[in-house]
Amino acid sequence: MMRLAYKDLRHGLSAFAFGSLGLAVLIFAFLLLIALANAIVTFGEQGGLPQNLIILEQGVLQPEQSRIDPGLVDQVGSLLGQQAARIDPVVFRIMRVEEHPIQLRGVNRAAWRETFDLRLLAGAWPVQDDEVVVGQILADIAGWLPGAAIEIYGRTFRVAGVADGPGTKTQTIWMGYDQASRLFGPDKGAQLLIVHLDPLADPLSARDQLMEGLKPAGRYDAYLEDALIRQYATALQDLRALSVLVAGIAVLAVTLGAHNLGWLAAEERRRLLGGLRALGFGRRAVGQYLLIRALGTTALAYVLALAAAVVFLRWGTDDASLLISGAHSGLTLEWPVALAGLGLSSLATLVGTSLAAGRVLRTTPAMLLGRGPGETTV
Amino acid sequence: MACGILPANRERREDPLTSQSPASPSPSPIIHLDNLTRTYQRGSEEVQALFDLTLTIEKSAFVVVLGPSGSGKSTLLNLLGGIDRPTGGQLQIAGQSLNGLAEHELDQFRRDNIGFVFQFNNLMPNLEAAENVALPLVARGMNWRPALVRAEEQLAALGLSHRRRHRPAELSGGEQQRVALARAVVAEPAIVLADEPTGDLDSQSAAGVLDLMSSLNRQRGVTFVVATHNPGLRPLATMVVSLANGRLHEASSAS
Repeated sequence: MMRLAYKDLRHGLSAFAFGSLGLAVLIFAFLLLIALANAIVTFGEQGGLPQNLIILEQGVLQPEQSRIDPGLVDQVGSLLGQQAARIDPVVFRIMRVEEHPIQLRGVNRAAWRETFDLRLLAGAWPVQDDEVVVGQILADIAGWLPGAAIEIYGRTFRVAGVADGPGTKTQTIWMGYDQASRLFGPDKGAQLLIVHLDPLADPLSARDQLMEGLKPAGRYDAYLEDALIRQYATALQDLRALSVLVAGIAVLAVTLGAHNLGWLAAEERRRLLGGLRALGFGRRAVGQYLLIRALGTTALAYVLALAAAVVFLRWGTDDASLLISGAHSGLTLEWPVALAGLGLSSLATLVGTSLAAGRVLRTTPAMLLGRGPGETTV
Repeated sequence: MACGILPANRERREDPLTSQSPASPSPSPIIHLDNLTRTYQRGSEEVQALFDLTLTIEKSAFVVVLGPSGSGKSTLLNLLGGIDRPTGGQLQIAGQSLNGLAEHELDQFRRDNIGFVFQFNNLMPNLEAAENVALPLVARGMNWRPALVRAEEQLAALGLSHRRRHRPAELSGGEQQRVALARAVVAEPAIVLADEPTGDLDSQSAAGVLDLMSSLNRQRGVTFVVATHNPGLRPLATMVVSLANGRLHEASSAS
């Protein structure tokens, strides 16, 4: 039967190619949707409670819209006492730098390692006023390596190093607080305060204490670090469910597509299938011929879809990631997803083709051959 | 006819070209029908395609089934070949009752006993001639390689050796039907059923195909049952069966 199916596909190349392309589009959609669903799952998923608190202007969802009074540092220090290891104002902007959406964080350089736990991956920590550090993801995507010159807000800076830290991955440029203040104008001030808690302090009670202490002023909210990202992630769960649902629909469409292709192939070959039955091939053998033929079509479709997905994720987009307010979650095609795609496509083909073949092969060889007058037996 | 129709190195049957003696037909019956009936339902209408047919066909006979369209010729061949089931009566072929056989048993019966030649040959268009001829052997479980060797022997015996690598579309109508005939006999079935085997051929090609069938019948003792409109086939027949409206009109043995 393998030989029959192979010859059939080989000599009907255009039908084979177009059938495969039709399924490939659906499998491609499935692979990308599952990659998107996985990216949503990992977005904002860091685990554990952070030791950092963020203080923002009340009611502001986007940190860059917040404004912090200079006196707030002392007020927070007195509220938390020994629980606060460091309190730093942060200049925070979400902006485009050379076409890349980035988070710019201007914060005291000493806080980079103590508060944000940044580790230097390449180059050196900045020394000069015109030097910055870029996050690893941004360095990878934009190709900004140590020594590169980048223009930010009309001024040229040099990349001194590449760094990475724990927590949600963001496309970040780090510069000193004073540098950032000069860049955007001292009157713009800081957008948020970052409080690094003492390792012995309890983040939740410290946060409650802050909220209570800041309540009379009625101007500020305190969040656990990444809480905003987690809020986005919660909102994205609906999108994840939708992605999985549409991926499921894609699998169903592959099943129906395989069924239609199998049905068409069987109907087109009715007389030939009848001939095979008359020669002594049983229903199972003829069904195997149709299945092998369909699996050949699906195998080609899968290879095309996988190749298209890999090319699209690697080269087809400027940034193969889910990027919200500079927070990053990679869109990647992992082996388990690729194998699941193969398994589900094959299963869908087996089910779809079996249903189609079963409908055709249930009839007698004589009926398949179109011999005799009747349709149904008495 | 001096056409070598047997593949080389065949052991089971005597080669008439070397022995100069045709296989002697056995008088034993190979097909026995007893009140065979086939009724179809077409919408609300009940169609009696074959009614109360009682008939015995001897082994190695060359039976010509005559009758106009709708007389029941194809239905009779379908039932004899086990590709359809009777709705009444008894059907016994090669000592085996076909009544009540399961689907897979009918498949096995066809593999072991029946060769088919169809009007439109039903060759697989994407397979070469030799591959088409090898199909009944593959259906019996033989591997492709030895099956192709035997198929090529059979094609050579029918004078089609030079066409073994051609696909059906590259063959003439007569050649296609000769390939179909090679396919029908390659597994050495006891019975070959041919439904209008020359209906789609010109007279010269038709004569060639009929010669081959006649030779196979005489040399190898294969029982042929040939359904046709064409009364010109009577001279080839050892038995003529005439059908009209699904009933036996005439059954006569010829010399």
